[in-house]
Amino acid sequence: MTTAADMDRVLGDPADLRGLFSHARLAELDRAEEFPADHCRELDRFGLPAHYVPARFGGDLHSYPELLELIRAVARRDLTVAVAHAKTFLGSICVWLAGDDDQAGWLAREVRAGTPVSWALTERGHGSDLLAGEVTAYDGRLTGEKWLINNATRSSLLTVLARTSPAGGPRGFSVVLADKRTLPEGSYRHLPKVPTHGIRGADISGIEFRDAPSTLVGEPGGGLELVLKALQLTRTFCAGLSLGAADQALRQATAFTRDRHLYGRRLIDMPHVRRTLGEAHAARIVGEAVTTVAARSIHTLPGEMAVVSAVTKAFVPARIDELIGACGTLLGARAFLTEVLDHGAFQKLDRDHRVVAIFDGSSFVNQNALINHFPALVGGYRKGTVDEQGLRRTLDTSLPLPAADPDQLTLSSRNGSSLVQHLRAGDLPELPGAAELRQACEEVHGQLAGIAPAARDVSPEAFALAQRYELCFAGAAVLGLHLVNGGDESRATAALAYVLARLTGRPAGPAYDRLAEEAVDA
Amino acid sequence: MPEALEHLLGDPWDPANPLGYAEIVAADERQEMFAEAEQRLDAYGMNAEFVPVEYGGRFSTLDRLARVMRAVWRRDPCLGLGYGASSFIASVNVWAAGSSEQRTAFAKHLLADRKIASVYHELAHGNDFARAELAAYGMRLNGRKEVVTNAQRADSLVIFARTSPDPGSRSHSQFLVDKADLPQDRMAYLPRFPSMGMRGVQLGGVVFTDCPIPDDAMIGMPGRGIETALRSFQLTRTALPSMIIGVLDTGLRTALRFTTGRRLYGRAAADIPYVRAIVAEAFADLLLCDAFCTVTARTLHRLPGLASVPASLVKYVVSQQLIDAMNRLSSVLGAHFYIRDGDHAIFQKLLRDLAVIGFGHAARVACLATVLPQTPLLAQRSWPAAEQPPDAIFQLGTELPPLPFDALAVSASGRDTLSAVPRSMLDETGLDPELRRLAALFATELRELTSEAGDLRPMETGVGASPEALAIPARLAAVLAASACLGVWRHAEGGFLADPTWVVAALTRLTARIGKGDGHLPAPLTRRLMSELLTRHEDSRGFDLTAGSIAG
Amino acid sequence: MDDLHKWLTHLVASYLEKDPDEISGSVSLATYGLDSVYAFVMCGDIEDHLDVRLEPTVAWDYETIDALADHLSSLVEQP
Repeated sequence: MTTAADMDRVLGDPADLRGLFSHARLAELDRAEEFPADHCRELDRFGLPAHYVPARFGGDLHSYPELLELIRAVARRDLTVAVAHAKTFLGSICVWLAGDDDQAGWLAREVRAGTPVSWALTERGHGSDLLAGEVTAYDGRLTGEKWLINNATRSSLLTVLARTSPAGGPRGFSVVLADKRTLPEGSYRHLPKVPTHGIRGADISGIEFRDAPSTLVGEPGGGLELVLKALQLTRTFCAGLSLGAADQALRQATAFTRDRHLYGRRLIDMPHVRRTLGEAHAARIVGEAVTTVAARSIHTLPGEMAVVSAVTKAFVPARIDELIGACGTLLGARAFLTEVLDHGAFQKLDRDHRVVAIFDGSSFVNQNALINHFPALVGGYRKGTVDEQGLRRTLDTSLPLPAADPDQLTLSSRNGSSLVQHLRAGDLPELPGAAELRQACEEVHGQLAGIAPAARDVSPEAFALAQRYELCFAGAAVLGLHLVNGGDESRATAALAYVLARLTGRPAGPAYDRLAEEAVDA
Repeated sequence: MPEALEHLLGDPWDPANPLGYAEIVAADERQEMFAEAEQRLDAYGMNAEFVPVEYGGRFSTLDRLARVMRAVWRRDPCLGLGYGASSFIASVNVWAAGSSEQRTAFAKHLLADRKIASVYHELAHGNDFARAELAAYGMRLNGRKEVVTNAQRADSLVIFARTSPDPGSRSHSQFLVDKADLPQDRMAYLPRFPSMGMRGVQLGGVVFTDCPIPDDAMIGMPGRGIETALRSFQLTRTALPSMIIGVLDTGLRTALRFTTGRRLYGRAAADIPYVRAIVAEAFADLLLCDAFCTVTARTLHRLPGLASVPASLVKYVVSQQLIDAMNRLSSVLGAHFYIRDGDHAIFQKLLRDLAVIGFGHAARVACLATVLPQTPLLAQRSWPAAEQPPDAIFQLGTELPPLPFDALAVSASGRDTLSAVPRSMLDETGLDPELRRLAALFATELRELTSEAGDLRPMETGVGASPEALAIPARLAAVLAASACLGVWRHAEGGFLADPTWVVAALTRLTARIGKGDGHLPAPLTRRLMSELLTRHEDSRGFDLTAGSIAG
Repeated sequence: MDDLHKWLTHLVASYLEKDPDEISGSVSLATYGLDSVYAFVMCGDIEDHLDVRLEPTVAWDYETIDALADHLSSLVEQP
């Protein structure tokens, strides 16, 4: 059992040129587009893979919030390493959710031993449109090509979404597990590494199967459902990667604005710099609040994860992309040059992080999922449906989490979101803006009700509303956590101001300024 | 003309074109300038575009120059900067303040395909060039300049150096130096500064150690370096963003090629309403950027004394609008924007290259800070009842007087006519009702700015300006951009430009900048813009105001 | 001349939000922290006060209140 603080110790001082996880070394790998194999081995030695294995299969994964903190600590140092290593978690989830005890027990031993597992969903030409998939696994024999797959080449094991009924459709796909180590020669070949904008060292490649034997994971024909449930967990997990990137971006921008002088004063003493930096810090607090709620909800409100994970994946990476952009404007030329300031760590994370918004479902895909939920969200809001106990256990971070029960995940959240729906009638903390947030939520739900369900021609207006709903959720997360746990008022105020500035246009300035001053003094 | 250059460079999407995107991306991967394309540009005589007609070149008007350069930028921003714009940046100081001998010699130099580096930047001081330290006391250079484009491969240098230790704005001068005239042991090159974008461009640096320079090297009067820069860089701050619009043209073309060729959820991705909205909005952004750039460029010819305000603000608006539009288009490409080879590889390169526009050649906030102190005077002298600007600044392609370099001024002294356009629209009968509503919004915005800027205390307009104060020039920028669009539309002689569709779309986009709208386009506008865009794409025409013929 | 000097001193003091007594006529405006762009503000105010047209850079060339007052007086006294 290890913690994020242990992880920081393992990673060592980023400025130490000899360190495996030094900025210098990581920059070199990025330039050479070389896989961080030594780094992954070091994380194996540290015992990170055991955290990818649920406790009921003998692993260290007791709590998703803890897992996210661990992966955040890695991502804070280097996103490429985090993405490369954590793929094993994504690759295993379908087995944790649906595999039988033998299969899961076997995989648990493999993962703990450091065997890399990959997850092959996407195909050339279809992207996020999983139902268009052409890879088949009739009678368990895999045939066809999966492309743009993280660790397709380096993994020993792959869970693959494949068509098991020629007609396809929602019950026409299954998840199967292929073990390359036992595949007959000639039954698969790797596709070349795809050169990418960021995460250049990662193994983004593909694999082509030809009549390769595989074993079924879960029910035959249950593949799409299984993958969609697994994505509820992985989309939440992605927020940990984003927060790690935010930590690094803010560290650089905060130090730079504190230490650099321009026009005869410290950068941070220029009001517009203070404002920009403060807003970026507020963005992280909001992202943390959403992520905390989401990660705890896996344990406490699993039936709502369809909404929660869609909000989290659509909202957090996009806000952190903006945060990185804002930090970039503060760093100026230093955000562009690759060998100044920590060996160009900033421009690397800028490129690296952009992948988070596109993998495991883009904002477009997740907002579509939210839009499909609009009737349930409106219904739940009007009825005031709240799972009181589940919500309390979500928000009160001092409470231990119940074990995650994957059987409780559902493809659609019938009751909407307890967090947001609670805002309608629940207590409000005495924070500036709390009442305005409630009012804004009221308005947003009125607007949601005005959107007619449309299976195909989803209007751009619906997407704009989905974004407004995400903000309601984020605001509710900030308020809810603050109400139950208390904590630093100026942080919560700034976070709420961030949400309201986007929802209602309310000026947020002074709250950001205080936050920036605290960050610089810290 | 752009058409001739387009023809010479060929269809960039054609895999058989040795100057196409495949080779452009390959050169970028090698971190090299694209040598074959540079030879072709030499053959075209690209540098002549930067030399005023009276010195034997083809530089007649700034808007024409920018349009020609778009043909380069839409292919390869590294060429745009590393071959073209960096020599152009250096040259404007010579045209603006050099002696007649200097101008003649400099023109000869450029016309012989030589490169000139603009030696201004010191990492420690960034945009604060009043604190630049490299010194030229007694005609001897001491100090260093960093992140200088083409420092090593340029034949001559335009150097910005301190000539007095005093603080203030009369302590720097500029020098035009031929490297051949410098003793070799007194100048050393710094190693190249590798960069995330513009990877082919040689960003270097120089260190001078007691390096003598010729007596006649000074450009203009001693101590006038800052003033010359502030005057002449009005040209480059206008023309560079205008050239860079070519990047968004290619971004749009990549998105169209991707979405029309791809099926998602059982239909062409280009038919998904959300995708269409993003693409149409990016097209509207391109048009509004072009209108603001073009009108500002023409203002420099017709009203040079008034250009300091729009020239700074055009950089502010266009840099953000282009970066935002490209980021949104990246979501249309999905995972494909992330891939560095294949059919759409040019997109990620453009995204990386474009980042330079945010901070290079004056950061966005520096543009606002330049204008802010001028706003109280503008509010007092012009905004309440300004006269209308001359028609010529809106009439694309009509003749303009040569650029009156002598008349460029560091401050507009409270004069502005462009912002008067929205109000004047309200007098027009038969105006499209939506356009009237939008024009009224911007007229109202100017009234609010008049009162807010009038209330500013001088202390609030300096380096310590608050974000609220800086919002005043930022909002003014939106008013001026809207004014430029309205003016171009009003003076258009027919066709798409005379149709209210684009100008309503452009102003709708701009409402988001003044907090009076979300900037999203209603479906009928999206439909009409998409139809225009797809027709132009089909017909191989540019996506900018003039919709000229292009090679693929 | 004295009036103009006094008026300029008050003007600069108002920019700096200081008492006019704290402003010396022989210290350069840059030293007071009036950076280059203030010159344009100042130029407009002087133009309005004296009803003259000036180069916007006038305060760059005459960097102290003393020098500026001298220069402006000579302008105003010209026929």
